[in-house]
Amino acid sequence: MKKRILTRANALIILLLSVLGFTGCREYLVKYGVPEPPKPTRVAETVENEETQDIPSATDQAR
Amino acid sequence: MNLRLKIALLLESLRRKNLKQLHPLRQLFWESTLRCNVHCLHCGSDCVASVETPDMPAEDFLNVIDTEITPHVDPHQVLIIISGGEPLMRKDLADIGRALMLRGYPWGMVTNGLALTETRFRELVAAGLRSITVSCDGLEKDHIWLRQHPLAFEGATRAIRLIADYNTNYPAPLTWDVVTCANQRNIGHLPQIREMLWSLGVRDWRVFGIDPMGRAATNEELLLTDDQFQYLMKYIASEREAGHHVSYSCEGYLGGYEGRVRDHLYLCAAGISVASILIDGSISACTSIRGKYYQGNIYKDSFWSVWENGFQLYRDRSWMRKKEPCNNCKAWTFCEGNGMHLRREDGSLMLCHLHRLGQKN
Ligand code: SF4
Ligand code: SF4
Repeated sequence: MKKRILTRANALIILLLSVLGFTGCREYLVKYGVPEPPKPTRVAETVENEETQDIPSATDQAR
Repeated sequence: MNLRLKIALLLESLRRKNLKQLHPLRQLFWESTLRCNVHCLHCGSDCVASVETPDMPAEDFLNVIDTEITPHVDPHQVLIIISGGEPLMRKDLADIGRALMLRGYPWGMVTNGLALTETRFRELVAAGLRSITVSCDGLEKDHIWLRQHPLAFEGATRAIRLIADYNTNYPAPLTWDVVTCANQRNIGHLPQIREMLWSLGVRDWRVFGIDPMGRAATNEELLLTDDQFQYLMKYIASEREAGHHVSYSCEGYLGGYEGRVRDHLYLCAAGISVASILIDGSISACTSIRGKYYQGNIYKDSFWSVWENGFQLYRDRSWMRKKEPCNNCKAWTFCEGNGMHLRREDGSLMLCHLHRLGQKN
């Protein structure tokens, strides 16, 4: 219960901060994106695709 | 300081208070190895003994993940950052990454790029790498000087090109940026460094000063003077005004520069949402924090009970207020004694950013 109140309070503060123009004022960790990891099933596909599709060569680009 | 900023800072301090009670684990650093392929002048870990320090076995780390962390968190909400030393020194890095991915954790790493070949990069992306930071400390000569390796610049720029290229061509882009340690040699070249990085495809650049610790403590060429630090703040603010995403690091309450040089208002999240497992199993927050503030060890304590019940020095920082220069500081509410990593073993503070700026609150 307390946890929920604190979480909501912080969500409200973030909203108020954005009204004040501080839109990036989120938790430090959010800077790093905490991106969704690929789903394991998708991973198998990705690995397969990785094997068949070439990532364009960085050294080529450098030339 | 204008009223809008003052209200924002008060709101942020309220949010920090709530966050301390919630202390959601969001970032977990793992100091996986102390081995490194370069010999940086500023190395924070002062890795003299690194060759003798064995890497932590992957199964020890994964065991903590499985038994102590996964039962209590949503893995999608916790970013694991594999750090070092140089994480690419571990041959099993992709296997570890894959193991984390299969458990649902996004993972990232910080690298000097030297060992990041195209094959290795592809392998890591396939193993679930989601976030990567590359260190590049300036134009070629300055970078090589700081990293003490003739191929360091070539390695870093090759890594940057690989990632930029990947992000342009693939639908699931990585979160990535470049970090630069500002020092006496490169401080005068910041605009040229930014242009060089942008030409390589970088769009997110973090610049920070080197703190007087590790090898840097005894090398004055590495540390910025107060004037240079003030210039750095002015420079970052002006780049951001010009629409370039340049940021200062997370440390230091910056008074009137708050909201102008980084995306968020100052918050040291150590022990609040950030934890780490160090090479010897010690449980800490950010990896650069001094040994006195370690909270336990995975080989004898329960990580989760340490996270839940320990870290009191981090969540109640009133002890810092008893020490100079924080004892009479009017900015205490906004700052709370600066970053944990800037506290020496005896509790004293290495530096105050507000003082460096010559600002008062
Ligand atoms: S004196 Fe302490 S609390 Fe005040 S701004 Fe400096 S580091 Fe922060
Ligand atoms: S301890 Fe230092 S590096 Fe870690 S969150 Fe705090 S200010 Fe940032």
